[in-house]
Amino acid sequence: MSGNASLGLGKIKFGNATDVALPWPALVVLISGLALVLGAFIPVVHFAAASDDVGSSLVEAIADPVIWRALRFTLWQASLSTILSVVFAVPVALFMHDRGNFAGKRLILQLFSIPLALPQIVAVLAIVGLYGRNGWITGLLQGLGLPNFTLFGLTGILLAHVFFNMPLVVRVMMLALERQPAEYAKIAAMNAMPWQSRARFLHWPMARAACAQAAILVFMLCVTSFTVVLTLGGGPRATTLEVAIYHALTFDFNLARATALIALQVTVTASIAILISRFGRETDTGSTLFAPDSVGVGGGAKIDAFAYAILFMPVMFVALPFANIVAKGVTPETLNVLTKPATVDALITSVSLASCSAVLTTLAAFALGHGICRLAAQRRFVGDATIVEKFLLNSTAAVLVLPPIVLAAGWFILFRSFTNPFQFGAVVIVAINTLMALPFAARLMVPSMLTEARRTDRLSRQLGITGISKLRIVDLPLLRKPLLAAFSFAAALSLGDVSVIALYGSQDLITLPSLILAKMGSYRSDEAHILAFILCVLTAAIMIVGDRQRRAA
Amino acid sequence: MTEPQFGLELDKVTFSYGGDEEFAFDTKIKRGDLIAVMGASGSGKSTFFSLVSGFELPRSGAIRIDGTDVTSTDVSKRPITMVFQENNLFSHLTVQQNIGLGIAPNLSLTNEHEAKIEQAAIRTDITEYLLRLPAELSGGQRQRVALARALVRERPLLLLDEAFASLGPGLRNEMLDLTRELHLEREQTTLMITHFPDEAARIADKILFVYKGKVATLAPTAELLSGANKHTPFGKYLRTQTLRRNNGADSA
Repeated sequence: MSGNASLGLGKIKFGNATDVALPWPALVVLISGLALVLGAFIPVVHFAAASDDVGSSLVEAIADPVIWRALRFTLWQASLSTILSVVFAVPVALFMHDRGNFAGKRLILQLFSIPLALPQIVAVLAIVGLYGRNGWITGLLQGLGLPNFTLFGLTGILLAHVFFNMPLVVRVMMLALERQPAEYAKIAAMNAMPWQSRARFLHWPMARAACAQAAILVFMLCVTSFTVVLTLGGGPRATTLEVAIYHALTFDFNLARATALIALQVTVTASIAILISRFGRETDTGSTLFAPDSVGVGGGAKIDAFAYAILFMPVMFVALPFANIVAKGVTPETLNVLTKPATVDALITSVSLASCSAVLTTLAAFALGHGICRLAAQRRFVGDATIVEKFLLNSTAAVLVLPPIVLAAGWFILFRSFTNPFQFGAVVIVAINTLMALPFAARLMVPSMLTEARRTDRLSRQLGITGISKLRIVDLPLLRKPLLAAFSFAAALSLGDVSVIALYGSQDLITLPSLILAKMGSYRSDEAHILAFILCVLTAAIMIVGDRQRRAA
Repeated sequence: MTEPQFGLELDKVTFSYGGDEEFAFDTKIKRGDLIAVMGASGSGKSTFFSLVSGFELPRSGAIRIDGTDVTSTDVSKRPITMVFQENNLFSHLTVQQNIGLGIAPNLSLTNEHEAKIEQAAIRTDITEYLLRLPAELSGGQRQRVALARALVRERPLLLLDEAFASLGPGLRNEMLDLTRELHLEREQTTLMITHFPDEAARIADKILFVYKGKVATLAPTAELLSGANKHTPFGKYLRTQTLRRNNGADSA
């Protein structure tokens, strides 16, 4: 292919297709990612190969009632969570859109963006603080003479999932409704359409597709929800596949069951991923901490009492846990807990692991972006992206089919056959968190990298600005914002990780989330709440910095 | 040592983007000439420039600049400076740094370099903007900066790829005159892609007409614009351009 010599690229032959030149940094990232994924599946292959009678071993594993109970519960809780999230979200989204720019709308949208950025362990503690035995809401219900309910089990899982996902569905629907022409509201007003007709004939058709896409996304998130089920599940009757994998490895030491569960989990998530891909369009989750600039088409109509009533409960449902985090996190004990050696150690460990993961994620996303830009330069940035470019970008998203606990468990079993897996804890945590953050980091960086490459590629090449000089003079100054955004996102994701540390955590490796888990396990909930508040502040600070950079980029 | 006669030679150069379209360029341009490269959209003007500058490599044939074979020489090593229609400057670097990249691609500028930048800035009338960012300049001033960088690079061949096409008529003429002046001072071989016959008439010694992927004509400007070629492809092209100009299609 012409131009390769001047680009200094290596050539790869894809079957009989035209030679495709792929820069080596992108290749290194692809191969490393693939090795990390394949390594986790060695135990599955080994399990099958080592059995004298593979068939009976598989039958035995598949016949295990624990596995089927976990599968049934996984799908059941995910279905219920999705239905409830959507049922509560639809009227909220339709009303908020219908009533235009009413006072407090931006605040509600900002409130609804926070669960997206909140570490799950923090939200779980907030929900326990509200709906647990000594919670505010429980006290209120008792005061009203209503019967008690048990938080731990399906109820708690549903509460947490709706808390996380109802705002997500609202935001996805609102983004779709934003695209409604402003004239629609005017036509509706001229024809005195009642709100039921506006919702049915104007808003719902605009939001229907987005709502369906959001529902599938929510279902996927609930199927792969580990922290919520681990902490609020409350026992074997409310255990999902992921938590069952964790239990099989940590409590039962049943490797055959763990392996079968891993295979089943991947089959389920892959099936959902195929369903998502068949829907075609990407779901815009509006994953920003800030409200969109345009907030509706209603043109300043005053919100009425009926709409307030519709919005009151969902807003309280999302707002109260935050109030609880702050109320229980800011106490006279906060400073004491913060300065305890165990807290300081966990904080240092968390920040160190998150920093390593964020640096690696940013470098890997940059390498992929660099590869995509070089390939785009070969087609002179004209026309559609080639298959190889799309593959480079989308290959990272494929890992989302593999929940972190699956990868962590695969490597755990593999290490266990040779050595003590805990000594690799830090490495595995950093590697898996890097892999999990990479699709998001790539999405944050690649569009900006392509835009800048389109503008500066020919000029840089003509002037001979290459290598470190190019990095220093051109790339880093121009890409500072998307780089920082990717770094912050990866750091925040890693800071909140519970699944990998739950498996690899030990006395020598304690992060802030694992310390919170330990405090919860030993019924020191006051301390756990303060630690959760610290984690929340840390994550929010990082996300706000990253989000500002993302918006600027 | 005698100076080479030709500033640019394309010796049976062939090229294809992979589809059915084939390009075959064979031409010689005298050293120190100022050439207007003309041709309809898609005729191959930009491909001609890409091959000369090294952004595309030919399938066969040879490209020589001042007698030196540069067919497989990297873009940055070719004795060429190219000024594009847009994106000639890095938006985050000052005017001084943008010019400085022409001398030191790592931006390690010495006093000597800075003096050279100052001289180029004086010559292109942009001294008061040296510390500004490109966003603070007008379109014409930005192209002056690009020309200043071309001056400090001191390469024997200058390629102007519709460099002034996005400027208004007055500013465009001003830039054309500056280009002509610099060309005369430095006797630099200069090729300029343009769609406007009046631009060619204003400054070009010759017109190189590209037609269906080949160099169809290379002749003195006055001769080609005299109207004697009205039945040739160039004559038809000229009529089309004049019509478009009169209809305001090319008012930019």
